[in-house]
Amino acid sequence: MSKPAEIDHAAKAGADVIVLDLVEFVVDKDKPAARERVRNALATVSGAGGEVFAQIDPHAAGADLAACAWPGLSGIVVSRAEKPQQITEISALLGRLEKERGLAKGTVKIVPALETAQGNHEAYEIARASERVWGVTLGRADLVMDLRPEPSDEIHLMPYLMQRLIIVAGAAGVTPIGAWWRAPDRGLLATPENTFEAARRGRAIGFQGTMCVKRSQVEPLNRAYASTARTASHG
Amino acid sequence: MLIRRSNLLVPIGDADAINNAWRHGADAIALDLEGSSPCAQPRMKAAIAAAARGAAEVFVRIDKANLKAGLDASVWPGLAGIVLPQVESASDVADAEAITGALERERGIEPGSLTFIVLLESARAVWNIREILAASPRISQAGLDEPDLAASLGIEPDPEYDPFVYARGRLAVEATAAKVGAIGMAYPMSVLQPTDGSPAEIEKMATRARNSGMKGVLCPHPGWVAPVNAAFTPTPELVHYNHRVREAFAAGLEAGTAAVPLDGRMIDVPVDEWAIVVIATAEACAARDAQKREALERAG
Repeated sequence: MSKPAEIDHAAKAGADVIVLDLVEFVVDKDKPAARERVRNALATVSGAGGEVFAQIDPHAAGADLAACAWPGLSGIVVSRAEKPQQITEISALLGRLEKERGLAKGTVKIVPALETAQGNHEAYEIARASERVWGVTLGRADLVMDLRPEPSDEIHLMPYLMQRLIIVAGAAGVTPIGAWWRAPDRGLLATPENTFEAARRGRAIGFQGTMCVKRSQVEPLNRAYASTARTASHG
Repeated sequence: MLIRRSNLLVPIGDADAINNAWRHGADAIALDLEGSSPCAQPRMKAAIAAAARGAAEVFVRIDKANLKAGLDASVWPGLAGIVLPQVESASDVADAEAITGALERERGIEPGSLTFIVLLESARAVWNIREILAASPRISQAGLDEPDLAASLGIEPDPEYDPFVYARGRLAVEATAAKVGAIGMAYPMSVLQPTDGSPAEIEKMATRARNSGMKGVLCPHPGWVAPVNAAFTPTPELVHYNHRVREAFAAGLEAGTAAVPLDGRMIDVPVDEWAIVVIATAEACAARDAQKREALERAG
């Protein structure tokens, strides 16, 4: 949300979901300005037909949610979710904001990103913490948990975490979101071909859509997940 | 020690298959009521007797949607147990337990003697496995129904990417901890289940399953039985080697050491313990095979 030009482009990328990010791609000093831009950005991108999510920091949930919960928002990604209580608190805050701002009750869905060992340990409880939880994802667990790819290019422990998350999601009745990335094409920089392969592998183990960063990744993801059809692009 | 390497599934509607099931050498035969019409049920007593001719343990896989009717039709003297499909929670097991217990009392069967094999077919089941296995002392084996698990997760199986490494690992750990035998075939044969697999290929996959903690395989086709039995039976070479392990270890203890080299490998307590298991498994398999052979000879 610190790059206004990206937002117009994102609207045209053809993603099923666009995620406006207030966490990973925004440095601290830019956050207040980025938060102020969300309301207008929602109006811009939601007009393009896809759903719009915002990625928020659970440790700044009050400010981030106040900035995001406006008409046009379909859901939020909770970065580095670790505790079911975080989700219940965020859910309660969303309930108040929906009421104040004239959004239908329950409009805003939640996708916890389980990027830490603690978050994965409580994955099932987190997924069941609120009716609003619609999906779960691992976010950038490989980096957060220091799961290095050397020497095989497989990001160690990720196949275990992914398969466990898919079982947890199925048990909790929510959507497992992700792709089976391999080094060196971790999601951020993956080529369209490698993005397609990551999505194909992801789909083969039960993921139903994934998040990406580059607009060129949207088409291969949509192609790989064709029958399940859920892709989100960060803007 | 429970020896139930192969459990041959036979559709109850296929009279020929039922009448010939005993000839294939399966340790167990599961008469399959799942998806069958209720009119098959009056034939159960005869089908159980027919399947038992070769000394296989006879099971019935009941249809979850017709639990009570299925158990009522199946629980007769001579039945070893029930295959419970689509188990998702402890209460599913408790439902089967209550009905089975009542039928045992009613029909002069020793209370608690019927055993359960539970099949897990959904993410919820895999996640709840611990409470499921703890729900009844009758549970002797547990397995994933991988084709149905894949379908429930929206997975189209791709032979290259095994989606159930975690689920199978969870099954092996939780089952072992609960003293229940984990059953299942290796991927991708666990989902693709070919009718025309070569015996060598089936044995290779069953060996892989054994080496990942499985204790037996539910066989969808008679052609699976012999290679599966072979894969789960320690070879004479392995048994011979493990007798040498035991001798070398005993000699080491005699000489005052609990770690002795044998053929370039260090033999210590866990190796000796495993040798005991291999030898006991081989003996139990031989005893089970002798029972089946005698029964076959008697039956002509």
